[in-house]
Amino acid sequence: MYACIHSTTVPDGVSLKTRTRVLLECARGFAPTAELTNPGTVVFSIAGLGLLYGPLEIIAQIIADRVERAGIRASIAIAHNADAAILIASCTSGFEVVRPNETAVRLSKLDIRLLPLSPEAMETLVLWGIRTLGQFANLPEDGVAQRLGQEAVRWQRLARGAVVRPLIEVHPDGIFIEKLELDYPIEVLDGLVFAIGRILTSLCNRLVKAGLAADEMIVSLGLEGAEYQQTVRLPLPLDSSKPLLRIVRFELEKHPPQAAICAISISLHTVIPRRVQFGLFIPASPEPAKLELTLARLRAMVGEGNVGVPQLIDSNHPQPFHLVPFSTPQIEEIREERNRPLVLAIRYCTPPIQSILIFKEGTPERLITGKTIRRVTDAAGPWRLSGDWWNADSWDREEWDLGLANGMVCRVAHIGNEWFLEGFYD
Amino acid sequence: MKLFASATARMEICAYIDATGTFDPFSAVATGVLLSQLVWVRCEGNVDAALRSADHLLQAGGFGVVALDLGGISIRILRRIPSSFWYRYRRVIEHTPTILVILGREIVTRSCASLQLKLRPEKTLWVARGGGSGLFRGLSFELLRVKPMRQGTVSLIASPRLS
Repeated sequence: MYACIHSTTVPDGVSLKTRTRVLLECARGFAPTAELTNPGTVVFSIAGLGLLYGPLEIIAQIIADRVERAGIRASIAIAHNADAAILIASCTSGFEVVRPNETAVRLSKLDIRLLPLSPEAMETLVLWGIRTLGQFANLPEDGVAQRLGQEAVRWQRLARGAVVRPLIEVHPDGIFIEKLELDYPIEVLDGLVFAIGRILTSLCNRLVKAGLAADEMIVSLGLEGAEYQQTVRLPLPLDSSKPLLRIVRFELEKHPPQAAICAISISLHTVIPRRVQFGLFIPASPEPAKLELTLARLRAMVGEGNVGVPQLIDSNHPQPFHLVPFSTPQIEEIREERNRPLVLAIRYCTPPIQSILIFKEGTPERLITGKTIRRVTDAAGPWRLSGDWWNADSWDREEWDLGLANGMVCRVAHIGNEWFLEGFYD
Repeated sequence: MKLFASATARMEICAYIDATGTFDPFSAVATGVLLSQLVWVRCEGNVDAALRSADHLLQAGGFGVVALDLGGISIRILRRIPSSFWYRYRRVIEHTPTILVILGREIVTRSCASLQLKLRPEKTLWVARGGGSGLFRGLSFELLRVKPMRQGTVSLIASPRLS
């Protein structure tokens, strides 16, 4: 069985968008999926609700009460298929329950103009003297197909209440917003976090009901004489208020507002939550909410640009990599690690240490770094490199690999007129 | 890096806490590390931040390998790290499959580590070339197991990556 909530009038002070959102939220309070047929009509399945609430009339009454509490005036119809429920809801007031054996009779009395017919087909039917769905349903199917086309056959089945189709799931506009005007300005972080917690709990309840998660959060604070806005992008979509609140707290501690807060507005950009199919032989990974919280803590501690995933750049630059924000990798097929030969890694000196390299007959002889003088026993180079000369980030250098008397091998680079110790092979 | 390579090949998420910014992702890829599985935390020389980052990551759980690289930190500072950190790390991971690797100039974890290895450079391999300059071919290392103690050493040879 399907229920349809149909609202034609928009109450004063309520926008069409708000009405649609409220209707969808009402529907999602009863079923995980709901179809938004048009901005004022929502249809959803009520299969299984009988076990919870009892007869269909009581279910219809409960839906009507919920819609009324939300401040929307709407008619509700329950029928055995979605289209019959939509057609009946559009021409009834209050609520109406139509049982399967009564559907065709109930639909037969409805006006033909309720069907989504093309203007040409409607004109033809009016010329034929067809005024109700019942009259249209009684026409011979072959004749209708010949004169009005195959689409008319579907309309005729609609008129008979015989179309059974799956619901077309819709998602809301993608942004959940809640605002709070404060009676007194808040000056203390704990008080602010408490108020934000209340908003986030409400927003996350809405997210969970809608089966969605947030991948971006915008915290806007109305300050005394100013505005404060902070955008937090979440690599892993979350639908729980606890980690979101902790992340907001880290952000506020890092970038505290400069005046007392008079109003709070939080908006969450919604996405469909990522479902990961785990397997018995796939290793466990950190729980997404916990991992996101940990990464937020680390970002607050070591800086935004110091936590992430290294990514190589297709360049000949001596350090061809940068950090990108972490996002949960897709689980690929587990592969056996090949028995590769050992590769020497270079351990960079960050920042490179300014040095002096002394040459003798064109070969490096001594490396002076600070107060340390090291004898060069072996040397490989020079390796001359340059690139990006076509933009401001151009680089031009000469590199040497030096074997030192203490057994270490280092890399030095000549940049401009100076030598730098870049790192050690390890 | 070989440890990271095998862990990321098993699709485990790993973390590298880089106390002094020494990590070279290019060398890691050459060893076989899957970078998309690796969280890199750069602490810019802040040992306290590195220790606390390791704590947070271990507490989050679910990581395959967490490496705390203190290789660029002087021995004097390493010796001043309280033992309570190492005991805490040990307690957090002792009943989990997570491997914690601590890299440093000397062994600082005292009795908390279940395996302690010492890697000593043995000799450098150079190919002589005319004109006084040679070609660097690699380093050979001597690997010594300190705990549990085993007599004898293993020799390893590693070659530089080709750019």
